[in-house]
Amino acid sequence: MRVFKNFLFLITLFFLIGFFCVLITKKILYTDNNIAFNKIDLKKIELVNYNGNKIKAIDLFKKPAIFYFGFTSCPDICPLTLTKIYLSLEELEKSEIIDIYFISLDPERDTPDILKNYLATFNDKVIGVTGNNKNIKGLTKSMKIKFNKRITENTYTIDHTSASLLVFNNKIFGRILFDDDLENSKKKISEFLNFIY
Amino acid sequence: MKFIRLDKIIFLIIISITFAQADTSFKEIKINGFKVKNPQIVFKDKNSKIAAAYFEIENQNNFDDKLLSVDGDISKNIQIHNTIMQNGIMKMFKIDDGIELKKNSNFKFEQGKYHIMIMDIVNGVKKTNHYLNLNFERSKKIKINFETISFKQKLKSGH
Repeated sequence: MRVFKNFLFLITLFFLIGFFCVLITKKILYTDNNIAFNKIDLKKIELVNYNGNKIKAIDLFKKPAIFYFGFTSCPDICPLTLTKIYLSLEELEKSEIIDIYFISLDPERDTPDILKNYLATFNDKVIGVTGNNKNIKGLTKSMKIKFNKRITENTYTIDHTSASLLVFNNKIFGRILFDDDLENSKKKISEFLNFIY
Repeated sequence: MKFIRLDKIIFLIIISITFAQADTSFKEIKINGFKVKNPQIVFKDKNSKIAAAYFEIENQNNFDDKLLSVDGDISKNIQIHNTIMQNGIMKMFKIDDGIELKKNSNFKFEQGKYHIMIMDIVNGVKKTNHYLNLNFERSKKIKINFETISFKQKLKSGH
């Protein structure tokens, strides 16, 4: 009987050690995968939110957040990505512990009013942010986002990084890619939040 | 007198509803030698000024053809576009010289790739369907009924 009890104890101990090793390895791997922002003083970058209020870029990083950079004239990738993030959080029931920001790369056309109207679908959960060209460039440089205004026939379009960033503490912890489906997006957000909390 | 059991009636109703829904979400139209699958106009919300249309088309004719343009009542500004990804950067281009459709070949307009871009929508996407005309070099005008669907519905349905 005693031998059996010892055997059971050892098996349980072995299982627990294995479990924690996997957990710690996952956490270390997740930590190692993060990328720090470029060193730019975020306190000096002034932006405007979709309510027309002036904010500093540093204010956007108080909570874990998902950032998407796009423009309201984009027909499919931008609305699809924002909808995917919004639905992911809704289905995970985690919308209270994480912010979602839509940063406009088209400050000429995307005024706060236009952003407010554009994001109304998301019940104020997606916060629209714009600013002048200089400050938007500063923020994107800091967060390693690439974009380029390209002149077309009689208008222009914006080429831009299509991934959304999972951000906390001025570090990028992951990316939701355009072709990630809803399940993949939820998985990435869950892993990110499990690491933070 | 023989009575039909209630559970059988419920079963038949469920089956009918399922097939009715399948019919609207995976529509297939055969017209002028073309097979058009799942034509959809996808929008962010009903007040959107911009939307995208997607569908798959198969040229079953015994001749090559070319889709030159798309037009419709929903907007006066409808263009054929292509989106390409280069090192994670999304770039969108207007297609001016049409889309070649070789005989017995098919072509897909889909998210993040070739798509129909509908801009300057004046009255929003309020109807459950809109007709778009596909203008071909040889087959001329083909009118297709597009189902309107929000990005939310599309993501939730998974197709």
